[in-house]
Amino acid sequence: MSNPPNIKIKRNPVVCWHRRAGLTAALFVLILAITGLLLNHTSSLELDKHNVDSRLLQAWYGIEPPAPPRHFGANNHTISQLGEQLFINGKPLQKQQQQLLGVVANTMFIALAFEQQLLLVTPEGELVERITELPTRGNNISAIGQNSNNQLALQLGNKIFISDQQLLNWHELSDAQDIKWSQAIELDTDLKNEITASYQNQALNYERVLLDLHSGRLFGSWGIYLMDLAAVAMILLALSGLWRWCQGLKIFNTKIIEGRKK
Amino acid sequence: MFLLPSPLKSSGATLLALVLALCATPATARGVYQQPTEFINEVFGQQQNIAKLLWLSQELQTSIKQILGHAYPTLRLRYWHHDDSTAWVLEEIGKEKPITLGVVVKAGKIERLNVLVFRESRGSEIRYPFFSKQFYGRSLDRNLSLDGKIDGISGATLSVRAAKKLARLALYLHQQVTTKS
Repeated sequence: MSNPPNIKIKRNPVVCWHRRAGLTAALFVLILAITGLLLNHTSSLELDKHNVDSRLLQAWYGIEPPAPPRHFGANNHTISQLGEQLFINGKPLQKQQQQLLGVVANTMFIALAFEQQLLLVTPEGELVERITELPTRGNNISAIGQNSNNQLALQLGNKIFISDQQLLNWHELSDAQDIKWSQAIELDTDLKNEITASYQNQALNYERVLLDLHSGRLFGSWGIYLMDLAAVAMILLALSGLWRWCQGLKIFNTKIIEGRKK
Repeated sequence: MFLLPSPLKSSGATLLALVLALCATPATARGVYQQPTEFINEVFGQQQNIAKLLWLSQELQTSIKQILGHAYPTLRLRYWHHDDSTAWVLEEIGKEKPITLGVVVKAGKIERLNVLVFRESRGSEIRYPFFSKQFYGRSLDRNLSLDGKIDGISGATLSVRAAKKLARLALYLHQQVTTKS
């Protein structure tokens, strides 16, 4: 039995590096292609509307509930504010930059007071009206309350105003003894945790994660450099591949010419 | 001191001016141009008890959807009614943020249209009279469209669209409240 001949194939160094770079860049190409495809259809896939509920990813992004959360109770309903997010009975309501100052409820709606506006909502969370025309100008709302007739009262600076049932007209009060002002309350731990989890889930959506994965930002500044390197590797791959193809074409043409000569 | 020959100086100054002009970002036009209360006071003076409420029933919201392309985001609307005039403070999203418009309708025709609050980064040109005056005297046709053409503003397409929608909405709501009363 004869041993196979010891043949040493001399490879072109460009081809060797082309293969190595191709293998290394394959993972990044897959990441970029898949995330790019998904991001191209972000609207139809509603990636910005679907929240990431992974605690691991939330922790990676450093999403913590802002302190201190504020909770107010009115007619068995709880209104909370964590950061800019408002919650009604633990369910997300809407975002509001101004700080929640108090809440009162009557048979028609729940009124949420902020420095420069009132939000009227139903217990189901539907927006009834946003009132920005306050009874007096120049002062912000500092407190909201109700009298024994369920009429809504507002304190603006030193003045106290009381409204009709529809909140159309206001008149100034000289005596505020009958008014019970809305005060922040403490919530039970279960509802607190539910609100905190809901806040954290809302803070991160799939579009954000995919964008950060696509750009490498998910892994900090080193991730960006890594993606830069992958991009450079892909440029080199394209160039070396082109060069290799040209070489192959040249050899093929030479062989055809030699064949014709023979 | 670094001195340049005068021809170079002038061309350098021109170049610098050109670069600065190219680099300059347009000044943001976001802001509160008029408080809604001021707008109402300007229109009706100090008239008392003219504020009213309109609850947006399913039937109304169906027509509103035809005008805006979506339901109005609140369940009720505040308006001001005196004689045959009504004033409305309405909001519609231009591109991303709501634009607040004050519209006065008298006898079925637009009498005034003011941009009260503009929150978008572009398209605030709709606040200028050359644009808003096009609406004056316009009324609604049977298809709930304006009875005349409103010329657009290049670079402010979405704001123009929002203004047109709100003008139609104010005219429609005016019809509803004046027919009822």
